[in-house]
Formats: sequence, structure tokens, C-alpha cells
Amino acid sequence: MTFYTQRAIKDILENRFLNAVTIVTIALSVLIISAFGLFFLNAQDMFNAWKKGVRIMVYLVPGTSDAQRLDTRYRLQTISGIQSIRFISKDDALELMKERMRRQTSLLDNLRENPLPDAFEVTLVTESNSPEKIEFLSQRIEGLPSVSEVEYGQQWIERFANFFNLFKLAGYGMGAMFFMATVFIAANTIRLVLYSRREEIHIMRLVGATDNFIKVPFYLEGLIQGFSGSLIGLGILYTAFSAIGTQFEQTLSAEMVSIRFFSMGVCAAITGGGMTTGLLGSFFSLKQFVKE
Amino acid sequence: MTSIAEEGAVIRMFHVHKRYGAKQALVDATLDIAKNEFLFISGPSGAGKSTLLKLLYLAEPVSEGQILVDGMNLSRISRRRIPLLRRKFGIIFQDYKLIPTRTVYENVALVLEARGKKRSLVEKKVKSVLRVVGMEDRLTAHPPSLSGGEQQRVAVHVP
Repeated sequence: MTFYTQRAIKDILENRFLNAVTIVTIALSVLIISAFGLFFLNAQDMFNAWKKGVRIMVYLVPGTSDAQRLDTRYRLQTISGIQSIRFISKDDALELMKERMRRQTSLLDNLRENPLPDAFEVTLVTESNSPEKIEFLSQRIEGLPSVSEVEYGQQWIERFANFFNLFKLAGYGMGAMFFMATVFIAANTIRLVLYSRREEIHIMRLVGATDNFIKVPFYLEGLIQGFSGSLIGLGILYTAFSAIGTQFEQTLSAEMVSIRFFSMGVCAAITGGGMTTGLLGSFFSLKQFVKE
Repeated sequence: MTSIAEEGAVIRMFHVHKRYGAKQALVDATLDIAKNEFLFISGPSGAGKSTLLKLLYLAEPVSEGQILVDGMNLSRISRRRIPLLRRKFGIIFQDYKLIPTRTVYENVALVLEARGKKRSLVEKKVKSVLRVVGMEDRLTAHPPSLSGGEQQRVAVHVP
């Protein structure tokens, strides 16, 4: 195997330009697919973090008595899927509003009476964070006595979930297309190398070289191309991630969301994918060439 | 022109025909070559001398008839065993078939490497045969830089 590896490395060095084209192609494909995957991974993290923070605001009918409020609270506690219930009185709500709208406090000060309703802030358990469950729970809560309105980011969550699924599908489709395009390019560059060395391969055959003796170095070449291309692609992505990521981190830290790079396992899988691409490229071109 | 590398090997041809499309290159050739026999085949251009050799090492398949080489029937030989058949021959091609991008050493070594010989043995043998023909100082030269005679010597001593 050492002999074959040495021959593969020598071949790569002898055909630098063609091999560089394949390596750059694989690197670009890995970069594009991985960048997409990285964005997807972090978007998923953020979506999960936001989903965890889903709250349902339960506004009470104006003039609800303390007893009715306690009754509503008791009924809310009996509904499964609810993690915590916090009462926000209309006065607390106004104070909160004043705090958030510091520049417009004069407007709020001039109010004759507090127009805000009493409310419960309901936090859901993680398992109840699917759009269907949220809708189901909000409908149940809306049916309770003394409840005037239930508010939650339903449409936003649903739209985002739909968009996310679409995004996922597009990602798979793009990934598959890039994979095929890269295999095709790798196969063609290896075919060019084979073509430039057809006389040598012909002579090898005439002197009794086995198919493996001819093929194995080319398979190794494909693997080396895939490995190098993947490392370059991932290296560029990591550099870009480190540069851009720090800026994002500052913006997102306020939202309690952090962004992350691929784990070592995923990096290894991407490299494996790149190597498979190179290997398949060699395989297809050799299959046709050696048959001729 | 052709020699059998192994002791006791024989070549037998029975009513061999070779056609290239409508053109007959070889018609009803029947031939036995015994062990240690030294045989010349001569004839005008287009008589089929090269074709006959190509049929022996399966560079071309026969159109009709049978060829036996060292007990192997060439019409039944599997693709995997063709390299083994070719290793039984030592052939000097008209155009020497040297690889221009490889050095003299690499050209001679390639044949042994292709036959799966160990590297230490390859190095020893290549240097030894090149010494015999006085080419030991041209180990790193490439074929295009050699004279016709030197190229021929390299080709002859491809073990």
C-alpha cells in the first residue's frame, strides 16, 4: 500500500494543475454545503431556543374579581402541558410598559385610567412547543370563564416552522446536486489524467500489470483529493465563522442564544463525504477507461 | 522475436483466423513452438507477423481457431488471468514502448513492479541489468534524451 500511496502522491504532483482543479472544486462544494449546514444548524438552535421561550398571554375580562382570577388560575393549573403560570396585574403591566417606553412616559402618565387588562403569563413545557399543541392549548384556555383573549406568536411560529421545513428540503436538494456535480467534475479531471497517461497504462497492461495495479493509485488519488478539498473547504468555513461569528455572538448574547461550529464528529463526516466524492469520481472514470 | 520465459512452456495454434472487419489479417494459421525452439517469422508488410504476436499475448482476440500458451486456452482465459499470461512473454516492441515522462530506471522498474516484485529486488535487478548494457550512468535520463540505440538497449533489458 505504501508503494501505491507513493505512486498516487507522485501522480498528483506530476499533474498539479488538473489535481488542483479537482481539489478546489471539492473544497468549494464542501464550503457551500457546509456553510448551508452550519447556518441550518444554528438556525435550528435559535428556533429551539425561541420555541422554549414560547409564552401564552391570557388576558382576563375587565372587572374580573379576585375569586374569579383564582378560579381561572386553578383551572389553568389543571391543564397538562403548562409549566408555569405568572399573574401580571394591570398595574404591573403598565409599570412594565412605562419601563420599556421611557421616552413616552409622559403619554402614559396622562392616562385617566389603566387601559390594560389583568393577565396570566403561561409558560409551556418543552414537549408542548409544537405549533399544533400551542394552538390546542390556547383554544382550551380561551374557553375558560373570565378569559377575554389569548395571545401567542402562533402565526409567526407556524410560518417559521413551514419556512424551516422548506429550507431543510432545499438544503437536501442543493446538497445532493452539489454532490453529483462534484463527483462529475472529479470524474472528468481524473479522466483527463487517465487520458494523458493512456500510453503508460497501455504499456502497463502489456507487461502484465493487473487491473488493481493500475487502478489503486487512482483510487488513492481520488481519496487524497477529497481529503485535501474537504480540509480546505472546512478551513475556509472555520476562518469565516470565527471572523463573522464573534460579531453575531455579541448581537445574539442578549437573546441568550449562542452560535456554534460543527462538532469534530460532523467535521469528520464532512471529510468522509469529500473523500467519498473523490473516490466515486475515480471509480466512474476508471470503470469506463479500463473497460476501453 | 518471441521467447517463453518459463521452462517447459509451449505455444500451439490451431487453424487461427484474424479478421479486422472485412479484411483478413491471418488465415488458417496452425503452428507449434516447442520448448527452447528458436523461431523466425518473416514475410512482407501486411503478411500478419505483428498480428500473430498480438494474438499470442491477447492484445487482440482471435476471430476463429484456438491458441494454447503453456496450457492456457486463450479463447477461454478469464480477464483476471490475462496479466499472468502476459508475464510469460518478453516482448520488444518496434517502437520500444518506453514511457517518455519516466526515467530509464522507472521504465525498467515498472515491469517488475507491475509483476508484484519487492522493491528491494526491483532496485537490485534494474541496476544490475542496466550495468550489463552500460546504461548505469543514464538511470535518471528520460527516453527522449536517449539515442535510438540507447532506447533499444533499455527496451531489450526490460526484464
